Amino acid sequence: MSSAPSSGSGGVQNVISLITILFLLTMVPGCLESEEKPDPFESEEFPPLSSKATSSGVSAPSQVTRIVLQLPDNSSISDLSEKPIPRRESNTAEVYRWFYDRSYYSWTMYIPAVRYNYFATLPRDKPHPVDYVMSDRGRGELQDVVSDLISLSNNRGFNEIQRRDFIISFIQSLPHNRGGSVHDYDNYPKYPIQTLYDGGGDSQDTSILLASILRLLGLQAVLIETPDHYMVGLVEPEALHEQRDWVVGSERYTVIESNHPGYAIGRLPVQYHRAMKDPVIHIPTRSPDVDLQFQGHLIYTDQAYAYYQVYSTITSTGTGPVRDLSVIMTGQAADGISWRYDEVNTVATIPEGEVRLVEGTVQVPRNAEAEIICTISGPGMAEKKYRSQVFYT
Amino acid sequence: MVIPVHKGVIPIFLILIAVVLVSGCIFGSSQLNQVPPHIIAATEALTDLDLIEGRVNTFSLDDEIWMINEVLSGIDEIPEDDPDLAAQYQAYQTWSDAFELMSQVFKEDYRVYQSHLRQAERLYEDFNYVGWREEITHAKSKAARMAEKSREAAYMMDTISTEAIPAELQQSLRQSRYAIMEIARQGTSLENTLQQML
Repeated sequence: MSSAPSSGSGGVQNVISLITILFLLTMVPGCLESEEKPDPFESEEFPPLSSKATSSGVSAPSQVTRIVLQLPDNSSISDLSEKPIPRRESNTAEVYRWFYDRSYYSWTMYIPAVRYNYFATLPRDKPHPVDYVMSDRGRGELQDVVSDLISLSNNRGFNEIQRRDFIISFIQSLPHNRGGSVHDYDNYPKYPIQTLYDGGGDSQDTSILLASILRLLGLQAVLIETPDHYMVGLVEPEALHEQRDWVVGSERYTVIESNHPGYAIGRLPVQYHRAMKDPVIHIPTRSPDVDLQFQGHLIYTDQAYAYYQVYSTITSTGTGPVRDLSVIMTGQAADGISWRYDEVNTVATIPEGEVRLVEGTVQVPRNAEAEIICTISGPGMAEKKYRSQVFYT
Repeated sequence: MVIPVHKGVIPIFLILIAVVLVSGCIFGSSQLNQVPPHIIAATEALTDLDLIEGRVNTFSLDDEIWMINEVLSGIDEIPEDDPDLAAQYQAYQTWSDAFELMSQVFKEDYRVYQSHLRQAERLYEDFNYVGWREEITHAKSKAARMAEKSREAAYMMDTISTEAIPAELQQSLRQSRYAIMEIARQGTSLENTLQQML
């Protein structure tokens, strides 16, 4: 008996069996390749989606959804009635004239076409006209206007009360104010500086402008709404109320007319007296709010998970900036209970009207019906959830 | 009447008188020698402070100022016949006063400056432009005051003669002047920033 290594026909048999094993391994899909881990962000070729998947967002069970779309948000505020405003081709200058305390005043305003067109194209997406009063859009320009008017009143030696009345007269006398009719406002609130650019507007617009300027002067102005007319309310000392014709609300706001020249504080044109039975008082606040749009893109799959890159666009739609936002991107089972995966992002500050892009990766188990939910929350605003359509992995 | 005196008493008595005569000088000099380490430490603490970056904790600086003042107040009398010692004493006193002025800048003026800025921020959020402008103007004048006080301290430092202080403090003298002028520059920079906002 010999214990020497086999040779001859035995060696040939070993080679044949090795080749057979290798052949079998190549026949089993994924067995040899599994040792190579591809780059998770390397683009892959995916089979094209069926038309059904494109339209509904849910693929056939054998296919993985590549693009996850957000469900339309029915709760979003519908734009108030839009009206086309003609664009301006060139910069203009407007001269405003008004009468106060036995003197005529004039003031010239330079209006860049770019800024005019910017406000003309902005959507009217705020929930209520009062939300335009303390808006940051055009605030810098409005502060410059207030500075000019303060300088003018200082040159005339006015005290604070006279300065306030001087500015009220200025706004009441804007050349394109639409005073006169009983129901005198449309449902198209203008930004305060936009009303100045337009040289006036309806009572809603001039009230927004006047309330905004009085606020910038440090006075506690509010909006007063009636079915036919908008006015401004102002907190005054109790002793002055007896001198005023119109003081409304439990807080005793003195009414200020903004659209008709010559009406002193506390007085109103006669055609609006009847509407003053049930005025609604709106106190301007800085209410930060956001809108979010997102889309998920399949970037990688392995045997256990599909990975979706979620691109979200956050727009600051409220009044004033939003701060310290938390954006949670959640991948969860369509039934909402089996499993979930959270990706948390933070956003420091978004000024009013500006947009930020936030992205994150959400991992979802394979062969599951899932949905992506983006939850956004921050100080001073209610938590909002945005859902995707149900998709298949 | 003759009082018998022992021979050895006279030299001892003379030595005692000599010791008493020079004791003030020796005592004052040795106490003044305790000051330089505290001045060096105070200079380091002052160099670490920064108005723009908000490094305003004066605890270390105040500690060293207190130690310097403790030593200086412990010296009862500076002999008039030693002008060098008197000049040194005066230099330390001026140095300590300059440090105290700088400490005030950070402890009091900067605190008021910050409170005006916070109030301005609140008023801005409240959409009150006139109030915001007033607060920014107050903050600006406080920043100007900080720069002015720092320059006052720098002028005080300029009165310190380099001959009056020991060699080990020459570097600290230059360092202190530089740190104080740097803080004056920072105050002016804050003032300019606020002016631009207006």
